[in-house]
Amino acid sequence: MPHRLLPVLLALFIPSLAVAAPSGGEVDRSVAMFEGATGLIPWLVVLPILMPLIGAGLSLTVRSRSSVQHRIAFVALLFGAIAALALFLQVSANGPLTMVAGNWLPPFGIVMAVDPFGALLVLVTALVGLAGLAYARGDVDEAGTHFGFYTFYCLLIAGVTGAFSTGDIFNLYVWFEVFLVSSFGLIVLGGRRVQLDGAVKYGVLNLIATTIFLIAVGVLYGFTGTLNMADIHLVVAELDGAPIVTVGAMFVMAFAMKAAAIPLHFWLPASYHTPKVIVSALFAGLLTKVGIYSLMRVMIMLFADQGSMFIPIIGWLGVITAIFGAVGALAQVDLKRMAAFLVVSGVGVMLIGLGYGTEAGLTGAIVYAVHSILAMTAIFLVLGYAQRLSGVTHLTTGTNLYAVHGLAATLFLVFGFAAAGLPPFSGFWPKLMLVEAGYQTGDVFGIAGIVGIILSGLFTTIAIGRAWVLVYLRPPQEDGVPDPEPTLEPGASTRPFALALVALAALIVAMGLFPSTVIDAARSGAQGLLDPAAYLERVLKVE
Amino acid sequence: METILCVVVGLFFAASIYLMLSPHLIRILLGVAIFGNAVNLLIFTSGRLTAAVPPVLSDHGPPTLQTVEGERVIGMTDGGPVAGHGAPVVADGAPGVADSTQAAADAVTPATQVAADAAAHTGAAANAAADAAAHTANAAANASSAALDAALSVTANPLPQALILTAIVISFSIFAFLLVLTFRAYQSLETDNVDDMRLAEPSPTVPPLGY
Repeated sequence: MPHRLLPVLLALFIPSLAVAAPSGGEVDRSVAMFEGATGLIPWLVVLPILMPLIGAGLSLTVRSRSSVQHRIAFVALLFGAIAALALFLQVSANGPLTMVAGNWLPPFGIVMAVDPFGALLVLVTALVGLAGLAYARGDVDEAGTHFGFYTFYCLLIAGVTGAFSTGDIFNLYVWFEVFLVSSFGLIVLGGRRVQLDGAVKYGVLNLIATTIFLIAVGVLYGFTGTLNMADIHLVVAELDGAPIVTVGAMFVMAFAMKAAAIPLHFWLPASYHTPKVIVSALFAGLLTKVGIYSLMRVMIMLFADQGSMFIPIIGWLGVITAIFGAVGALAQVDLKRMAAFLVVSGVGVMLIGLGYGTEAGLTGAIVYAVHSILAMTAIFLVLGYAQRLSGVTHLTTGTNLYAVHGLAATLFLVFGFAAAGLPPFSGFWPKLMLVEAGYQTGDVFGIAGIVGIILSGLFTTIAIGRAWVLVYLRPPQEDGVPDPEPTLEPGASTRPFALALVALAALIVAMGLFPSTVIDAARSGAQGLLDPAAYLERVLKVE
Repeated sequence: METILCVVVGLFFAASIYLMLSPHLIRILLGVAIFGNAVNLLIFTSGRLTAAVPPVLSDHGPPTLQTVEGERVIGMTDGGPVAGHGAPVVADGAPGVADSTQAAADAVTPATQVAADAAAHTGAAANAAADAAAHTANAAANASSAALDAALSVTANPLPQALILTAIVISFSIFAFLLVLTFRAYQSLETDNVDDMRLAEPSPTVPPLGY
């Protein structure tokens, strides 16, 4: 019923008109509010969030018709991705872009602000969201669709995008909850016993992490009297150390838990292998990176010099996480649990880059985040594809899949080597940059970081190579853990799976061969974190 | 008052952490519920606690609580009670009266405007507006700026309360979800002891050591 939807959509799209309309008295609002409607360009900031949100709402209204739902989600995410690309180009060319809610002048209104760092991650999120959606067409059954898979999927993308685009720390907490709630919906979808087990651990520990984040925000507000990130940056610089120690410790705890840094990682390998593969892949790609993003945003940009005491702690956590994550992957028999530990190991590499605290280190960490979003999503998807083709879930079962289905087997090796950081794939460049950054620092931690990165790469290569040989080359084995039957119905199309995997592989190889676009964007993102003058100017400007 | 609430918040945190350390899911959930309430109280306390002084401003400074003829009323700092029976009328006040008050407050910050808006809705509006109209914009700005500083010491900050409202809604809905999830997990896994929930984390097997 388009004629009924129209006013709602109009109201959704043009709230600024409603605000600008005369409301009775002759009140001069110019001291508190922007006058007039928001220009067209700032809308780019919220469009990558709005599109998936609209998709989520619309797909809920047709929940019994699965093909329509998929199409709605596809169109919504496609428009979201186009908007994200436009946003990325705009921010790369002209610097940070902001939009304020309700036209309140900063720092009073909630501000959405995208700097080059945020714009890069928003774009990658949108691309991975699209690729995952292609896979979902094959992976999600009628019942899953009926219980709202596509709604939760769009909400998750919207929540993650929102977290990358907000300029208000309480608003960041709200976006955390948005994707947390939708991830709850996704992780229990299907309701198998193992999923319930994983979901309980995932749910409780993540809720505790976000609550600690909320405490930190509340206490930070008590000390600074503001929630606007740009304003916090200015106010915190004036504070003396004591309050920041308390608040910073809570932020580190909360975000390290969300990012699954060892020793706060236990929820991740306990839950990521349980839901549908597309859900695991999306979680592995996106959710831990939001923790990393927030840690960088708060520790480097918001706290600046005041946060410097936490930077070495984060770095050492990173060294431990990178090494022992990869060791954990070596110890696993279940393939998806192995991949979950690879996610943890990658988190460690990014934390090492954060621990260097230099421009080179942060640039490497940001490039690694982009790579990790692509590679971790891809690894889970390719493992899920192999499971559909042959039923394989464990290392002990040989399948000889390479002879039967070369594409799935080859792509596993591609994604695995990308995760390990071997050229010519995407993981090579960020690891090289991080090793270089560690060499430049020239202190003990620099060396430890290099050792951590190289050991994690070595162990990851061993784990991937072993899985390749045992699962994809070895003929079926008599003993070992029995696998379930292949779940791909005979005659069913493999096109959705292949499409998603080839798209991700193309991105990963392209990033490995032509890394300069991502590296340039990451460098200006890192510069923006270390010296947020442009960000402050854009956010706090008074027209 | 703040001190008492700080102790309460501390007790809440202690109780919730103790409960969350238990292996039994129902205790963990009770701990999570108390944890959320502790956070809400913490944020509430950080916004200052004052009794019955609303964030209302006039040119004469913040309102005070006075007792007139045995009845508690809100008065202005310059003396006489101007608003009987405390409670502001929550309705769109007469715009004509409100305007001059707002114009005065506008010159300072949005925060004062909010306060002035509220003032316009009380019986104080008539007096305050008449006074404000007599001042130039500059004088009003100075007075209101001083008034703002004074007001910050006696009125509560409404923003943390708005934050709590958001946090309560979120934590309550998530708690409801976890409650149902736990019950389903208890039904199908037949235990509420997380040490026995090993389905997703089976006891380790050694990976194959050779080809």
